[in-house]
Amino acid sequence: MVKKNLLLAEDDELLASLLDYRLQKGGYNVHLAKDGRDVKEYLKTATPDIIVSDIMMPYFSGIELIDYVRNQLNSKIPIIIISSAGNEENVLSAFELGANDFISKPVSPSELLVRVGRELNKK
Amino acid sequence: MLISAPKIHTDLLWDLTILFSGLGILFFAFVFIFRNRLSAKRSKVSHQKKILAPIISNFLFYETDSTKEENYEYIKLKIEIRDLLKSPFSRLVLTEILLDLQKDLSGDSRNRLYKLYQDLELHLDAFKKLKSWRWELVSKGILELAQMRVLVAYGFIKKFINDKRGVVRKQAQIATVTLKHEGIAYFLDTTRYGISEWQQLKLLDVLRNFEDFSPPRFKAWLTSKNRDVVLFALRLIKHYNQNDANKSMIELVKHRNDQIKSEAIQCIKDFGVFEALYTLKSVFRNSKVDIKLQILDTISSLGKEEDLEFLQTIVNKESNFLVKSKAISTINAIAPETFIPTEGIDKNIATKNFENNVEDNSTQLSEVMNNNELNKDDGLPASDHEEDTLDIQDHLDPEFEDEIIFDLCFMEELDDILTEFNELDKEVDYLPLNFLPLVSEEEELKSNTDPKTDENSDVERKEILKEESFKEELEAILDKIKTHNTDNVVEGEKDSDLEFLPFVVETNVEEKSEDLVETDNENILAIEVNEEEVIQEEGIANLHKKFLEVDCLPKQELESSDTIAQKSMDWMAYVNESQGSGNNPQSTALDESARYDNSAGDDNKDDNSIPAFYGFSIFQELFRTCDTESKLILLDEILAVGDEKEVHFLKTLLDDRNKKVSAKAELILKELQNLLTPEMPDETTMEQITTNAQGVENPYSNEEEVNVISSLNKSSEGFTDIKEENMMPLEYCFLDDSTSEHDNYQKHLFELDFELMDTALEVIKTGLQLDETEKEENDKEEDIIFGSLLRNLILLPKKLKEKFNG
Repeated sequence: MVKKNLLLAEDDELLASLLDYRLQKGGYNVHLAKDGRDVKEYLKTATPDIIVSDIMMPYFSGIELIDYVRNQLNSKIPIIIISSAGNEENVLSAFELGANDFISKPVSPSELLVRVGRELNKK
Repeated sequence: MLISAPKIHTDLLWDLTILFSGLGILFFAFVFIFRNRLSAKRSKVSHQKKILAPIISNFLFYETDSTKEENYEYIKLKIEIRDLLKSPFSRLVLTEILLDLQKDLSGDSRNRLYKLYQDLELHLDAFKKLKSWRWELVSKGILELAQMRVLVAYGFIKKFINDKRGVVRKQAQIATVTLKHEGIAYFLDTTRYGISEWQQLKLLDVLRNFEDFSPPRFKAWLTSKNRDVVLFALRLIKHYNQNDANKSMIELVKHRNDQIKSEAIQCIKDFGVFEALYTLKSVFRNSKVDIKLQILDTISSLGKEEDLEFLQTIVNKESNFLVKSKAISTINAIAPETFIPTEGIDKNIATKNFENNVEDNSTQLSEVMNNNELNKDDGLPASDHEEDTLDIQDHLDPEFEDEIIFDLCFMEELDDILTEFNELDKEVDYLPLNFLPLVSEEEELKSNTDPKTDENSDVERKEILKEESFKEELEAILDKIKTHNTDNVVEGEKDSDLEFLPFVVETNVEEKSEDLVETDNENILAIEVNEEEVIQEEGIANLHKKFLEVDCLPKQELESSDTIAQKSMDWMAYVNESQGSGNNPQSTALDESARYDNSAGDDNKDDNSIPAFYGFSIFQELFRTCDTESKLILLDEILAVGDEKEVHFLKTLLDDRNKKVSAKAELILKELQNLLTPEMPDETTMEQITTNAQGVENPYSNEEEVNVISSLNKSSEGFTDIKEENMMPLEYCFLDDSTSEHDNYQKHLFELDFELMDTALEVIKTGLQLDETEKEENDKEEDIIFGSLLRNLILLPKKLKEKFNG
């Protein structure tokens, strides 16, 4: 079975490493990006099956990432947003721009895995 | 004596230089080393985190049903981490990683993290910290143990609940409550120190985030000796809705501490403890204002009719406004509408039964309008208007109340304006709005002059009201204003040749207005008056037409009378533009002359009432405001630039109270007359004209006109000769620059018209046989009327705009 490509954009290295480990264990090829620039660079060269991105990132926020993917790349790649608690406004903006789902911190890696699977199944 | 420079010890200077340089170098070296150490440590931690992160991930997500390879990997990593943990630095980094991760993770992963923390025996380091003498380390140790949910630490931590060190004590309180569900009970039982508001909030937050938490019955702590514990217990009771402590709460209403008392009253209100009412009433008298208000608030939600007597006594006896007001509102809450508003109510207004007067608001409003009109005609005082409107306001439908009140106010304002106009009408037979550029509105104005339409609009005004009533009335009133205006303008348009005729005042207006009131049929009379005006003005028009035919100028060079009138209107437009564009200092005089020109169309209805009018001297207005010296200077100026208008003005100055002014006026008058005499029309000629005019009933009959015009030609020639020196009448002197583009011929024409106009007036006046004294009196009256009219007219558009803009 071919593994799905997943782009994980998270600036917190520890959490990114943990989620990376969990998602890889869940059967995904995970590409880690520590900030928005990395995401942009990666998206120029490859097209992941799904994007999991933190909202608050240096250089290129999650909102901008969604805008970039939806309006400039004109791509319908599923995007799951990770946001901090009490950041409802950003979440709403993300949904308005075309985010597919969101998960709030503190993150349960198992829950994230389920949501990623669900979004890919929708596709 | 020579001053010698102080001796400087260069060696000492060198020593100091070396010392400070050394200190500087040391400082920079210290900063450099310290920063390097920090950055090295940071990079070391970062490197260690990169090594440890995958290991931790592996440990966290290890599952027993993993493959052999995964199991092998797991065991290998466990051995590796045991080696790493021998190093305190690695332990420190690992603890830091786990503390960071527990914030970002939830659910099962977090529980595994807690387990890993204890499996790796990192909590032992935290226990060591608890034994430290440094309060920050102790606090850090407590926090770490509480965050990683080390339940075994509960016994150790709870000892710090009453620690002398505030930070440690507070940290221990939160940790005790966090670690075990019974921690809150232990804390409330044992704490001896006060609990700050912030601390209470933090503890409540911890309790709220508990899963499967069954709170203890907090009424147990209402008997605590610690006031903060009682207060916190009351708040917890309220938070968890524990309404089994009513008696305790009622007792706490009597507490000396206002905070506890307030919290207890709040609980009583929230839980609806009716049996507390008696206690509340008994403590009311000795309580502070805030507590009194709170008690009254509670009584308003729990009280019954039995409590009204108590509340009434508060209303009667209480001096504090807030409490008294609250008591009244409480009474109204228990027994609605017991107290009704009394402040600012006009008791003089007789309240009528609204249902008996169910007539449409529009009818009422039309009545108001009619009343206003009648009052206006009857000359009733303004207070009567106000009373009427007030009475009617009582019967207005609330739905349209605001709108109608606004309408009434607005209508009153408009009525005021109209009253001003009517007052002016009593003095002058028309509303001199001719300065307005109405030429383009010819058709509208003609339609407005139709009295039938006005009559119809009056009828409709009574019928159509409600929502559109305001517009209708406004339009009707504006029509009324226009009617005044258009009566003049349209006539002026019909007889456009006469536009340059002077402004004439009718003296029989009062009689006419009385007739109008008596007959109570304004419109019909208006038609009659208009017809009379038209007939009379046709006569004047014919006169002028003939006059133009016999004009001394060749026909091909002479512009038609229409063109002249158009020119006059062009000047009007210029006047209006200049008036609107800014503060043109000459605009007043120009304005006056423009009005002067246009008022020609508004010629008199009654020939006998035509007063003498020689033109308006611009010096007249200046004389009103200036002092004696200025007047003397102005008199000199009159001699320099004056013409026949100034002659008449100077004559009025002969009777001036100031002898200097009158003497100089006399002198100037003589000199001016000498200057003007050779060019003035011959007295005999004027007399001939007068006799000719007297000889016939109709002064405008064709034969007479020919005579008059022939004599006028002579006089006009004289005038043109004069004006070849000055070229223009005085009021147009300032237009020289603006009219320089016109050739001399045009100037001549323009000038001729105005001068002819004056002479024509002279003829009419002499025909009416007005003696000199009457003329002077009329002059004075005209001046006064003119002055006030001009001021009003200048202000009128502004006033109207203001009124329309509300």
